[in-house]
Amino acid sequence: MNKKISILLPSLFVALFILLLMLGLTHKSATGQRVMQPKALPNFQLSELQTGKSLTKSLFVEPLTHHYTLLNIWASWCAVCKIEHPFLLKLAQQGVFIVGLNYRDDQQAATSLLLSTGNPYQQVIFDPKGTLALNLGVVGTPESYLIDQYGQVIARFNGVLNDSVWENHFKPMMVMLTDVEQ
Amino acid sequence: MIRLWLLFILFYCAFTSAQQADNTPLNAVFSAPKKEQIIAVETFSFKNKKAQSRAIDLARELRCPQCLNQNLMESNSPIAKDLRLIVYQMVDAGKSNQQITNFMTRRFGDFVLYNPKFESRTYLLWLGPLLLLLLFTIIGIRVIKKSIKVTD
Repeated sequence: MNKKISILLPSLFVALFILLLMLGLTHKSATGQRVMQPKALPNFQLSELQTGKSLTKSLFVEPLTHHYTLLNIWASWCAVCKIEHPFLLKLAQQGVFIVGLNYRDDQQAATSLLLSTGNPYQQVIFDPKGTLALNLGVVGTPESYLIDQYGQVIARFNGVLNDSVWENHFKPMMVMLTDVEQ
Repeated sequence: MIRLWLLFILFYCAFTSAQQADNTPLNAVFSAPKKEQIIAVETFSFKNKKAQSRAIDLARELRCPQCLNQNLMESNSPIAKDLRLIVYQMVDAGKSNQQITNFMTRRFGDFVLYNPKFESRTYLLWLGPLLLLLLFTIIGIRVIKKSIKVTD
């Protein structure tokens, strides 16, 4: 009897510990993509990728016809962004206002990529040194931010945007926004 | 039976973590640092020696947000170089370590801290090892006492 317990008890501990680690694993992925506190967009002064026009934060806060802007961080050297690209084109077709942030890229390469594969972006902020990206807290491409019309970042996602991410991560926030407005 | 269960749990863990690997920072790509960037960081001149050693110590305690386990001193990714330059500049400008750490966590979250804060969320992390040590000491003493009694 005693012997049985001396075997059972430690293995129970080990099992519990493993369970705890497993919970930690799933929790970690939740913190990486969790719902965030609204955060003001940092100020910036950069140029548009194709037109060279000067762009500032006002791009996101001036009287807009839409309730939110999707800010998508991409680069021509980023292979994963190419997987994401068709989905962005689809979103643009559905009328989502998308602004691109071209991250640490070559102007020529980025422009020609947009010409050959299609351009889902209304405007593309050209950020060759990653200054705006650094203030935003961009970890790597592709990354997407949902920004409301007051220039507040209300959601972010690191990784490839697809239907399920869009439905589960961004849609609920957008519904909340439009509800408040009406 | 217990062994079978443990094996099952182990496989389950491996499976779930493999699934999660899908959206880690590793999945996102990054470019090589530019030459002028490297020069700016590597040849940064501090006002004094004290600031330099404080900046280097702090950069060692901050994790590169893009890498899974490298600090700002070790990593060669462009973002780490940029952040290291910012740490240097802020230290040189007389900012406190707390101010610099806040700057980093506001942008990249607690992920960048190699030295996590001691708060309710991290009690288990900080106190867990002590508790385990205590537990094993108690068990050890008991076992030894028992074996002494038996030999007596």
